[in-house]
Amino acid sequence: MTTPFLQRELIVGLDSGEWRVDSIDPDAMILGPVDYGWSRYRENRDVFTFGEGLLASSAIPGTRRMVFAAYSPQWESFYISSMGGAAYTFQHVGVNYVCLQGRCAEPSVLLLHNDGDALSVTLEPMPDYPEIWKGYQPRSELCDEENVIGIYALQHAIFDRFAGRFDPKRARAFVVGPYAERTREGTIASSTLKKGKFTAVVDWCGRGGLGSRLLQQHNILGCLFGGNYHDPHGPRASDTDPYFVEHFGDKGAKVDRAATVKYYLDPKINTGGTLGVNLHNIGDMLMTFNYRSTLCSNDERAKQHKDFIVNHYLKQYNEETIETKSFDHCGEPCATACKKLNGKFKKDYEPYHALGPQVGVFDQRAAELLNDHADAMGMDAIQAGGTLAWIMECVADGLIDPERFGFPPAEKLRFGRFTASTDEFDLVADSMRNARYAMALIDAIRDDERAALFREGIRIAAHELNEMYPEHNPLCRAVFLSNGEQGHMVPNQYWVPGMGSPMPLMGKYYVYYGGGYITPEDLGRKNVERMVYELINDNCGICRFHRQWSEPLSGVIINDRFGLNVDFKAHHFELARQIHEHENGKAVPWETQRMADLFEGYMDYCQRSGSEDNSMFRWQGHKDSLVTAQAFWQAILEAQSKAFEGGVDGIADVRTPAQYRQHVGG
Amino acid sequence: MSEASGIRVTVRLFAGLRQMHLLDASGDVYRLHLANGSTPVDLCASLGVDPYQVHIVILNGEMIHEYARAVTQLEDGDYVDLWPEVAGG
Ligand code: SF4
Repeated sequence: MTTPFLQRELIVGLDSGEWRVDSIDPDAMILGPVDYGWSRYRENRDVFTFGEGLLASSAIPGTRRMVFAAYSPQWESFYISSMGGAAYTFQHVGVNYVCLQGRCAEPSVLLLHNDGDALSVTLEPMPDYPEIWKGYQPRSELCDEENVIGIYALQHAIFDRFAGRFDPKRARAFVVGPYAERTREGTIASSTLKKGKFTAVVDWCGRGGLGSRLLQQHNILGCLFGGNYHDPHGPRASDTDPYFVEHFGDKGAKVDRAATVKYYLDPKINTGGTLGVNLHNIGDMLMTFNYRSTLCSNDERAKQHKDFIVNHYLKQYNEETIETKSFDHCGEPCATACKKLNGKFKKDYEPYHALGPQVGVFDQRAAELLNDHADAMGMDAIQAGGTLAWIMECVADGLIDPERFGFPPAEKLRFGRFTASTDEFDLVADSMRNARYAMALIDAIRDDERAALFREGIRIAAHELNEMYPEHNPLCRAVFLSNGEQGHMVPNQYWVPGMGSPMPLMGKYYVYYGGGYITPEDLGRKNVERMVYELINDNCGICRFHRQWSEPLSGVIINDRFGLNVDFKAHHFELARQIHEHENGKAVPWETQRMADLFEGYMDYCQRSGSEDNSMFRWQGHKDSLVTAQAFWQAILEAQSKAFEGGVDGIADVRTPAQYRQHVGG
Repeated sequence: MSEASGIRVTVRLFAGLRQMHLLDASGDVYRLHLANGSTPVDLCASLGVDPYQVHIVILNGEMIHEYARAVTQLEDGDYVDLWPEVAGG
């Protein structure tokens, strides 16, 4: 049975506090929060949108992400970022999307509440937020901790002040932290609640600096949302199971569990979650001490992986988190329970790699302390890890004078050079030393005016430091992607050229990031393919961990549910093409020698057996590795443009097994 | 299997797969003698590598689709690269 295709947007004028709810024209081809955000952004770059996917009221796990879209001050482009589970609560507000326009007179909190009959929208000023960030005593019924800071503090304060009329089971908040005020890289954070009490799980709209945008452009500190609206047409599992049975041969829950096993617990390797699986599989591709491991031999990296990771960092994680099955979900019921916990600390691969081995931290206690501090400040852990690791190398190697920027002296860290020897590096004590140093950097960059240039981000800071220290060339050690005049992004933590691609939205998974050498021509085409399918996930509000079924199936379910006849691949190709066309011309080639070293090292790594794969040779052995790397980058860019120009027919189909059988059977 | 009847292929294991299956001193490259008609899945079995742990199979520079790994026949002189999965996210 089809459901009327009715969608509603809430438009809030932040200057006046006036708001209205409009119906969305069914012919506008808005199928989800990315379409919505993109359409509003094209009308007015200075709006901020968020919302849910069309399956948010269903029982299908993974369909309740909250998707944010706005201009990214960090990447200098339109950006999309999604937050786990938040639409499980947001669906009770009774609108699909929210569009914020203008700017509040004072830093304020947005309250969205639906009592079941009517929506109310309020803006509440919160002028004491700087004090709250510094420290707040939570109510004991909400939290077991005595004093909390940053994003944790602001969430508690918002609940204490404004949650009175919300049903505690259907209320959630998202907030920004101090780094949203001081930098362009601030995140948006949201803790999950169980039985009205905050849990250790924090979900993030982490990349792209949308927290900075929310606060600096709109003067919004956070949003408390929830209520008692219920979608009268919300499909039950019995409505959606037939799709899974037809396409995958089993009910939805079973198909989903099989498709997401590595995020839960993979019995074949006795670990699970992104941290466990990736640290297990990364082997001799480990990136440590600000990527310097990639300049070493395979055997050195393999030794470091065995002694530092497998026998210590990963071992701790497996014993403390996997063996005790300390797993939870992101706020929506999902048996994958990918959130891996040790007490109040949640562990994911990229944060615990970037603010882990990259900054010379190989011990869980040290990594917990550091990640928790960065989280509290509302920092993007990947961005923070890449930036701090670079500063630590510059300090350790004497390229910059730490005192000049208010940083602790070089003797306080153990970062002088790569080592794979536990005789040279004490995994517990030296990790803690490095973690404390990194925390001191975080605090100095936040508060100390001498360190203000680092608030501009790694790209600008690296160029400015080069002017201050031309003889030392600190820029050459930095790893970042560039976009526009000042836009920048620390790449995701996978040592593959795909993560350095010139796609319009970097810092996400809109690229091909599997291993193996592929030509830049193939890489460019595959990047475009991945952008199309990742956009399907984001636009449907679906968690990408469920992508095995969601990419080929979500469009089928949505079309049937709403009586539509949309070609999802074509629709999202067009969306990708428009974003590419709009943002095209901003991509800047890799700027630093360390980026070139990463590329060259990867080529050597793939080449090492001397196979007859000659296509790789043209990218190897040249005198100027930066020029070669930039030529490769250029070739990816051209291939991407060609793929966008070539149209949707050039994009490979992602199929369910049933669709594949039908395809090969003619 | 007689030497004459089989095929010789060169296999490389990457990242974590290499460390899980250090089969020779160099740990980099394995030259295997397989029966005629062997597939990438057979190759994994002969190395003791669980095919489930292999995310990417590259045969002479071309990626082999997951669905085709059990049916693509290897030939004498082939180069095969095996990569593990990364989880993403
Ligand atoms: S896999 Fe994790 S993030 Fe995704 S829906 Fe499930 S619990 Fe949430």
